[in-house]
Amino acid sequence: MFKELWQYKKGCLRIRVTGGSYDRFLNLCANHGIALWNLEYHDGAYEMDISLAGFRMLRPLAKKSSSRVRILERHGLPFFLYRYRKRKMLFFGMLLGIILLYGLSGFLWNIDIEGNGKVTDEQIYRYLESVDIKNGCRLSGIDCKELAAMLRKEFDVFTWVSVKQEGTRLLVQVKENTDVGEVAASQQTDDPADLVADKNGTIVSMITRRGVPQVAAGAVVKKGDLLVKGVLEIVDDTGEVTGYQFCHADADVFLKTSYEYEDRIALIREEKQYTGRTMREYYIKTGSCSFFLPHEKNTFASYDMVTDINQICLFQNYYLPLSLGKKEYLEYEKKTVKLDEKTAASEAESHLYKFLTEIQEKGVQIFENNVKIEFDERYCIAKGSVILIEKAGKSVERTTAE
Amino acid sequence: MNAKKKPVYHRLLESAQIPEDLAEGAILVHVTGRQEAYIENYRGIMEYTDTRVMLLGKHCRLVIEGKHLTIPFYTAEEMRITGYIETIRYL
Repeated sequence: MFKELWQYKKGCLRIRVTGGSYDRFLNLCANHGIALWNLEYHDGAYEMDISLAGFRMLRPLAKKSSSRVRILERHGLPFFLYRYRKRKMLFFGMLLGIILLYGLSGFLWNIDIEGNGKVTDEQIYRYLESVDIKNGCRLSGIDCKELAAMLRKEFDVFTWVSVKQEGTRLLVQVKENTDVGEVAASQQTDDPADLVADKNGTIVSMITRRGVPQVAAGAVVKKGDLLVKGVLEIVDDTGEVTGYQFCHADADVFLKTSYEYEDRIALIREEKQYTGRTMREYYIKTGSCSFFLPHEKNTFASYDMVTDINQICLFQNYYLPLSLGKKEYLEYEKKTVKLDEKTAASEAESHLYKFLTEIQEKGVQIFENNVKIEFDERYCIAKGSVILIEKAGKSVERTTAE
Repeated sequence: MNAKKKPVYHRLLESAQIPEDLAEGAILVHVTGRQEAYIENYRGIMEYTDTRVMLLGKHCRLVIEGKHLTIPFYTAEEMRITGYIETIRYL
């Protein structure tokens, strides 16, 4: 690669040597330190590559060996510059391009965020914008170490943050705390607080860590009912209350709750059917401006639009404030489709399964499932109650002893 | 041959462990398979066609015969010959 670049810079020629004593010619070249390569024999003539500097020394050698030299091809920068010597604007454009690239390399043009799950990219972008870090800001004004510390402070869920600046790109890598319990424990304070029910249900089990339990397993509670009191009464020998000790009530309370599930699936509905006809538009985007390449007018009555944007990147990390975009229009027609009962029932079942899986992922147990699938003229209805066992209780700040 | 009968110059070179190609100017040939030969320490090219390359050394001539012989690199010190090599002979 480096050798080829060097050859391109210096310039090289493909020459054809005929007549005379070619062996003398080759030996003279070697003795004068002229390197030859890709030497080939074709029909009584010799073709070879030679550097431009070597070619300039060739005339006396050719004369001495009484051979004729003809140039077949010219390659390299010196020939390029000579060929386009009159095109001043080309060189001006190249110079301008280099200056522009150099100038743009001092600014930030791409922010990449990796490793986040709970905190969305948008939230992080918004925070970065609030501290004046956005596309187009100067790279010299970014302190990666400080920014990492600020991100850790702003988002409690991040356990590890790394901010790296590579080329014109800012790479933010984060690791989130996946253990929910730990986060709750870390957020726990010693402020006096009660634990109250945040939903209706029957208590299945209750383990109190701090505070005085007000209900027991088997009790029916309503939303807002006091579960654990954050006040400990201090009584003397006579049984009289002499004082109060406040604490932050804490307990694992599991409630059996009922959730009314209902899902309606229309038996007659309109569905998109793609006709297969598509149209594409290409454009260049810089900042908020888009420049479209010439394209035919979109004549589709109803269509889906798929946009694909790729930011231009030189080498590995030199992002430019230019993006190439493609808009694709997919034409579709609306068609009325009537579902048969079997298909509708399986669709309702899959919706229910998805719902149950989602709530189980949140740590909720399913105790009973009474959902039934029924049909009327227009809908397939999945309806019924799902009995769940879930953790309940929220802290409410306490200000007085009563 | 008995070592004592060798000329002093040779014995001196042997004891100094100087390689033969440096001391005698012997031609040095590295052959890779039958596609490539790398040659050093030659004086010059005497003949070159796509079937035969003859090189002049200090004490002998080296002839490489084959088909589609090309020289990808040629300087005063070293050269490479590629193609289908059939024979390598010393004259």
